[in-house]
Formats: sequence, structure tokens, C-alpha cells
Amino acid sequence: MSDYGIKSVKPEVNIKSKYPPDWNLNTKYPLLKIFSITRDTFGATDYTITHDLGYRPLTMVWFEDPYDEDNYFFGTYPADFPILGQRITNTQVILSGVENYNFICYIFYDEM
Amino acid sequence: MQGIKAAKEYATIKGTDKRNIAIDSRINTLKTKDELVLAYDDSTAITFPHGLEYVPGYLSFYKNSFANYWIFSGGGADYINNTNFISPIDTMSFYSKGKVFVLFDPLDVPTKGIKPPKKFGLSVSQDKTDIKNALSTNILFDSNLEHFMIVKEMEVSCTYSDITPGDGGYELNYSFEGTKVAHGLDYTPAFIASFLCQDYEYYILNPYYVEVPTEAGKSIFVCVDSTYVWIKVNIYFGNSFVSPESIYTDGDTITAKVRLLNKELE
Repeated sequence: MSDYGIKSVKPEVNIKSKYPPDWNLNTKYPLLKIFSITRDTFGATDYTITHDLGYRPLTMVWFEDPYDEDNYFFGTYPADFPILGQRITNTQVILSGVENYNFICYIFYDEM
Repeated sequence: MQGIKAAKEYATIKGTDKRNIAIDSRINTLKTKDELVLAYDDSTAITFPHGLEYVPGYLSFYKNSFANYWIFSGGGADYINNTNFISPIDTMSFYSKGKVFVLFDPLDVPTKGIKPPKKFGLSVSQDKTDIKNALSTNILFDSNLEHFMIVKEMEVSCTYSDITPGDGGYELNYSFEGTKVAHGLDYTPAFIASFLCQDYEYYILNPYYVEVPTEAGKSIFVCVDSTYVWIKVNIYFGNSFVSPESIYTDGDTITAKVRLLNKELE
């Protein structure tokens, strides 16, 4: 089967390129599609975000540094902070954290 | 209804399952503003002014100083604010190179964005947003911008009891090869990975390294090189940290789901 769909490549690159880093879009492959964005602060217990996707979605979480609110980390905090984590189920994304820490959680339509 | 929608290869455009969709102008996507190559000389912290007047998201990957594989960052190896991306000096003793993708997508204020420079090509804004005035936050796709695509989905697994990382020391641990699967790409890909916690029916996203209960101070993680996707065991990387709980016991299968992206690390 010949190619079909929409394809866009970086400037100066031949549209026929089969090298994925050259592509801006190739509809053979999915873009990371954002399902929801949650910005909030941890309470005293795990923070649960409910979704209705029916599968375990890809997520990304950034945390605000509680000692310097200008700075944001991806994933976990430095070693001298309490452990943080996330669990992903078919219906929930459960963030484990520390009270009063701010976070931003992106959930994607794409399956983990 | 207006806009564009395209299904990924071998998938139907019909139906509601968004996993089948490559692009849908009603759904936003991550967009890359800058790709930074970090080269460490063990003496200077790296500061990159990103030029946005808000805090953008970012993804970062680092190459191990003692071996040739790349890990997903996290763990405070770096951070970002409304002026700079910063990789502190502490990071350098563990890594030889880094690759950072600074996004247009905001962390601090959801509506923040900039009008991307228009050159030529295709630009698609989200539903109900005029493309002529759209900020990066509301642009779904722009051929002048770079986007993240999932070009390969892989699964790597091994048996917990097969993991014998040694009893400490960098050399012993770095020599452990773990399990590996060839990815078949002609570059070292950026990736997103998670571990299936088989007894709990959930995933923990890498870089929450999964602790090895019988090997204090060691953890399981996913990494890539130009040929393979690996599961490896090592001491914690730099400031990285473990998952909130130990989830594997002897005889369990450790399974990692790995999504390889169109972005190259080197």
C-alpha cells in the first residue's frame, strides 16, 4: 500500500524523508494528544484524577519547588524532598505527594 | 463541525477511540519551542534563557557518564522557571550529555502562550480559535513548529529473579546489561516509559525508578541507546528517586511499556 495521510517535515528536508526526527507531522503516527490538564495542590492524602478512558493513559507531571515557587521540576523531586510518585489505572491517575505541594498533571489520550 | 482529523496507520477514522487518531483539530498537542544539547565539562551549571514570559513544560534526557545509554530525567536533575531552564552543577558528575525539549505548553498559567513566527506551511488552531490570532496554547498543529509523535510502541520485560546487579559500586552495576530489545530505529530516540505493576494493575511512570527490595539503594529503570531499549538495574542516578513502594518479588515478571518518539537524543 502506498503512503497516505498528511506529512510535514522540517525546513530544508525532503518530504520523502523516512527519518522520524525530520518530521513535524506524519499521520501514520499519532501526535501526543492532550486529554486533560490538572493544576492543583496536594492535600493530606493521595490526589486522584478520575478519567473515563478505559485504559491506562500516558501522563506527565511537573511539581513546583515548595522552597522556591519560581522553579518547576519534571517527575520527582530532588533527593532531600519526600518521595513523590504516580500510579496510572484504567480509571484514575493517583499522585502521591506531600501536603501543600503544587503540581501540574498532563493526561494524554495516548495509551501507556 | 470543522477542522481536520486523521487516523494513524491501519486505524479507522470512525468511532470514538482517540488512540486511533493521529491528529484531531479539537484536541491539543505538545509543541516544542527549543531543543537543547547539553555538554558537560564538570565545572559550570547550564542555564538556558527560553525567552518565554511564563513557565513552560520541558522534557529532558541524560546520557550516563560511565556507559552509553540515555535515561529519562526527573528527580530534580534540572528545573525550569519563567526565565531559564537550569541544569545544576550536581548533575554533571552523573551525566556526560543531555538533551532537553523546552515546550510552548505552559505550566504556571494555562492561558499563556506566544504567537509563533509565521513562515509558511500548514497551521491549525483549536476549535473556536481564529488561527490569525491564535497563541501557541491554542494551536494544535503548525508546520513551523515541532511536535512529539509516537513512532514505535515496545514492551521490554525480564524476570525479577534474573536481576543480579552485584553488591554495590558503579562498575559492578554498570556492567549489568539487564534485558534489551532492538528498537530498529536509525537514531537514539527520546522515549516515555512506565512499569507495569502486575499485582496492582497499574503503571508507574519512569523515571520513578522501581526499587529493588532485596538490593538496598538500587532500582530498575528503562534506558535507550542507538540500538536497544533496555531494562537496567543500578544505584539511584544522581538525585533520582524510587517509587513509593516496592512492587516486585522474586519470580515476578518486570514489564516496561516504552513509547519511542520522533525526537532524537543523538
